[in-house]
Amino acid sequence: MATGAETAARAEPAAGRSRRSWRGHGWWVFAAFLVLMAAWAAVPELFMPFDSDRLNPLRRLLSPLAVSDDGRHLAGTDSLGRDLFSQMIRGTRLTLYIAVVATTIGAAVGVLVGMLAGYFGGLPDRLLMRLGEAQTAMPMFLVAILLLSMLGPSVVILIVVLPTLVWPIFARVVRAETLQVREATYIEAAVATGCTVPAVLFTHVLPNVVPRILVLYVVEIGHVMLAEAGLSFLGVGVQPPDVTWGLLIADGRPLLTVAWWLTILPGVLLGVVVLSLNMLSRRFEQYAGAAA
Amino acid sequence: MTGEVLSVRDLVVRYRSHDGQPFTAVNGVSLDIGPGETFGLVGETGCGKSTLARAALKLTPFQSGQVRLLGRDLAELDGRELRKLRRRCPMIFQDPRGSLDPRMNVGRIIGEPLRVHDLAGRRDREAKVREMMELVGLPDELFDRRPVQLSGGQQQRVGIARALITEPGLVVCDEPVSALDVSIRAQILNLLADLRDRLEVAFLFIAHDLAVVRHLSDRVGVMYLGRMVEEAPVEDLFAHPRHPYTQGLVAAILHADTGGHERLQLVERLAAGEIPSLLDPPAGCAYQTRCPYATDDPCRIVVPAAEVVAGAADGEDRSHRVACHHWAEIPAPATTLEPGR
Repeated sequence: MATGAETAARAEPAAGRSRRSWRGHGWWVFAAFLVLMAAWAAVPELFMPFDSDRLNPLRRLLSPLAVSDDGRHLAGTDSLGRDLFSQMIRGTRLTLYIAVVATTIGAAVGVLVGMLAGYFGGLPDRLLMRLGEAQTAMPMFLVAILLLSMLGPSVVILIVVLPTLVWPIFARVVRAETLQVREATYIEAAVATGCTVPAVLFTHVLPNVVPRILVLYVVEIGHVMLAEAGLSFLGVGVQPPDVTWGLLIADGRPLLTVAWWLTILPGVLLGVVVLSLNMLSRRFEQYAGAAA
Repeated sequence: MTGEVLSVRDLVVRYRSHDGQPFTAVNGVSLDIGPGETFGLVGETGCGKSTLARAALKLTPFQSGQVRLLGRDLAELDGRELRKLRRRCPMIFQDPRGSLDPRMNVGRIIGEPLRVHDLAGRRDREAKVREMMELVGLPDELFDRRPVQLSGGQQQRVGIARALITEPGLVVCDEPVSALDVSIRAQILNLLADLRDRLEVAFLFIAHDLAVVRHLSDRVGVMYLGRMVEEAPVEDLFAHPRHPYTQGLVAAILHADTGGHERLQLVERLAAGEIPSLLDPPAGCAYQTRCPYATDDPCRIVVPAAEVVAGAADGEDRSHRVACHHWAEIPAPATTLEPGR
């Protein structure tokens, strides 16, 4: 859909003008939304209208926008009478934290592996990339479930397991970029200057590769977020009393027919964050394209 | 041969083509460069001159032969010593823009050798970089610019500054002006000549244009299909070229000046046709396919060895060497060049 708009804008500059200007500036709406999310994660107390943990049997399962003695519940309440909106805000921190940390670890591993494979080629290349492919061939989500159910669910183990889902993607992209960068004369110039291999990799290859994986990084945060939500939903991820959006969705599921908002609203929130990340990544893509 | 900055003996470099066919890019080449001397290396594209330079700096591996670089035998160096040695033998590249990291600014690029070899503190480094920029004629305000923001000539000046900042003994210039506009070439060549005189650095100067080499070099070597066909002091080579290929090249550079038509005919006769493929080199003399003097025996059978022409008595570095079976019989071209630069 968006690609269609893009082509139209290119083909008919005059007619596509309004759409193009929306494309040009629309990204900041998503950026602003993500900033709000970051604020929710940083200082949830400022935004929470109610204490998210306070139970109140008198206001159980209120629908969104309903008013109780305490005030208006924007997103309704759950079966124990806790304010859902406040819980969603409280869950932001852990949700984002797990996604960002896990993606960063996965990206770091993938970048290192991809640079080594691409720069050295030959046997290291084949070994490392086969390893990645072998792992991609396995249903990692199932392996993650297995691991988490064996080791017992915990946030730490989640952060160790989730990167395994994403590192091969980073490794593949970085390897391809490194193959290209390796042929550049400035790499030969660096070697001729007397740079060590790590110096070449980290001062010359890495800075020329990183801008091109920025897009991937942002997209993968969304993926990892969904994976975490899935694992938490299945009960092998984050455990109460910790709260993440995935866990809220899981908690609401048995009541789907009675109180739809308990699953739908955290789900929509999650969806919008992932969408925003994707929209922002497109913006990065344009920026990286312009810089190259 | 003591005190030579670079001494190459019987160097052989073999590569594999993309479809795996082996070929010999450099075939038994020898050369010597003394301190402060400028050696011009000319030849057509693909004759192995860049490969020779890269092998001499061990940027590319070689199969046999000996290279002594700044008094050290390359075969005896381990990785660490080689890296330390590289401080003293930098390289200037053909593609000025491509040789500069696009994510670094000018100051960082020029200062990198200092940083890599830990030669100066942060403050000191910046001062040295600015000093170097002035020396190569780069305005001070370019310090924070990225390579893409510079003109081609400025980019090559950055490359030159980077090469000279560590006070090298030998600078390898791989066609440093080939990618530049003609109007910029003279500036860069004059800069290099000026720096050579001021800094007492030896240069290995590669070009495919004899005219470019003529202004800068003390000695000139002519390569053809992986072999050195002639080597001589610059005046000698231009006044008395012995190898038919060199004669053709020398005639070619000045055909526009005088006796244009005659010279063109001479060029046509001496260097007719195309260079043969390295994948399928002719047996015997590499130049036989284009040479008007070639005979079946020995030219098509035996590879000519380098022979010393007159002037050998003057000493090693004055020698004029030519690899041709018939050099003594070949008539001097009707129109030789006046000596001089």
